[in-house]
Amino acid sequence: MKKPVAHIALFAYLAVVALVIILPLVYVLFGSIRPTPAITGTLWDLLPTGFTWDHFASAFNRAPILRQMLNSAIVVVAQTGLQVLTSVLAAYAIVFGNFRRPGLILGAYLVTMMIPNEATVVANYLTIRQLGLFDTIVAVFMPFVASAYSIFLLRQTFLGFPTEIKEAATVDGAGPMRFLFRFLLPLTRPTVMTVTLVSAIAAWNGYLWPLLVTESPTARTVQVGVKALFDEADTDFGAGLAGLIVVSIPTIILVIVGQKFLARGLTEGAVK
Amino acid sequence: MQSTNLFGQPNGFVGSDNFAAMFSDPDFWRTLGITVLFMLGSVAGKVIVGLAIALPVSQRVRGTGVFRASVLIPMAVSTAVAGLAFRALMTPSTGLFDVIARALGGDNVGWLTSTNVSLLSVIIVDVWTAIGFTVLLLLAALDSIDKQVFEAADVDGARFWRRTFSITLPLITPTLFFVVVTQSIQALREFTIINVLTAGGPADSTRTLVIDIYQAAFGGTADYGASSARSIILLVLILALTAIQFGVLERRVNYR
Repeated sequence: MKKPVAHIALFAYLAVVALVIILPLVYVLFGSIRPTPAITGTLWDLLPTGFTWDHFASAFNRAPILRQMLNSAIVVVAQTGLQVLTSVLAAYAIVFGNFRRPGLILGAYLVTMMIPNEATVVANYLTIRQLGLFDTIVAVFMPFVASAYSIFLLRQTFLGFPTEIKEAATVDGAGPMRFLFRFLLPLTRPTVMTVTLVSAIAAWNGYLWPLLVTESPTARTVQVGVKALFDEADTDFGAGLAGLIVVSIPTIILVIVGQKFLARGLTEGAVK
Repeated sequence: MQSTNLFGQPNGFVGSDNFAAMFSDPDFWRTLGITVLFMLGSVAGKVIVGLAIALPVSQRVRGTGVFRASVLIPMAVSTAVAGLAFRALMTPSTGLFDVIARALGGDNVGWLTSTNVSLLSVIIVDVWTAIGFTVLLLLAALDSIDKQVFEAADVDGARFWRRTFSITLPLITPTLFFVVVTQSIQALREFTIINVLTAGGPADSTRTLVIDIYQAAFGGTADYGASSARSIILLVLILALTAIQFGVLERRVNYR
């Protein structure tokens, strides 16, 4: 690949690919700031022509977006916090708990990974109804406070933890809690960060389950809310597009900030 | 294996009635066929697009680093947002896709309204949302290939295409297998994209198994029995694929 012609061809090809990849977002962004009509139905839609905040104002008027973003934020914090807590404790117990058959417990956890959420929604939905939690935020995150995937990732990392440090900590009189929070977690921070980030993004992006267990606009999470906004804003297309932009800002920031950990989470276990 | 009354309360044990009803329902078999078509199209699209991006980027030509970042963009938006963005692009007549089709001398395609195209449209969106995942995985595999292999090939005078098909692809088959199996599972589970884009329509042409599960229980009929019977089929399909996944991974470990 030293010939300049080949170099330029490769560069041009990659540039086109990159443009195609970002096209949907650019299209939505330009539409959300274009004075009405947001979408003109001409090739001018590819470029930013004009500027207005009107569609954003309209989006906020049509749907309780801020309330829904708050709901999603609560779900993210509760779901991620509880999931990371239960996973850390479970992985700690499996690795350092002196069980006779830790593999058996781990195996039982891993079996649940093979059962897709989509196959259990009916059962979970009926449970939530019976518990009287339908249309509440608690219902949205409750099934996800434990995760076999997070336990597995943490367990793999804890297994590689040097036993010398564990022994030294014990000799120094560190109890299990102190060892866990002062030694183990700080030293395995990359994995803990990965698990936290993957869990947080999944929580923010959840769609099917929140769609099933919430009903009123003020109880919806933002993903379900923005779909409803898009459906209802039929004649006010710009408002729907503006809603998409608002909803995407948190995850775009998260992905930019955490891309290193994200890439790790994806390739973990796939590429040795 | 229970029936439900009008209010969705379990109504007693009915043996295999729900399954018998499902298997004798031609619509169920059509759904299953659409599910398989969606899975095959989506996986093939992801592998081809993933390679078409990862192979050139892995060449590490100066200045191509910025393109590595662009594949992260689909990961930064939720599936629901991606689906809705494409719904805007695929809007009949005024959406950009139809605008471009007309500019190229074609006709409005009916991306989401034609029963012939709708499945392809949801596959396109599914492929787009997975670009980050597939390209990152394939890049990691390509980057880990020993550079000496290529130097030897260069000495032998192997050209790019021959090098790709005879050396590169065989060396990353474990990762390709992994992508195929995980993405097959993912395609079987895909709900958001189809719900947002077509809700299973037009005329049920994009009604996959998961959409069927949803519609049976929550699409007005509250037939939890029929929905659960379909869930069991989904579970069996995914368990089979998972078994294959573990089998393949097990073999890979032995290769090394």
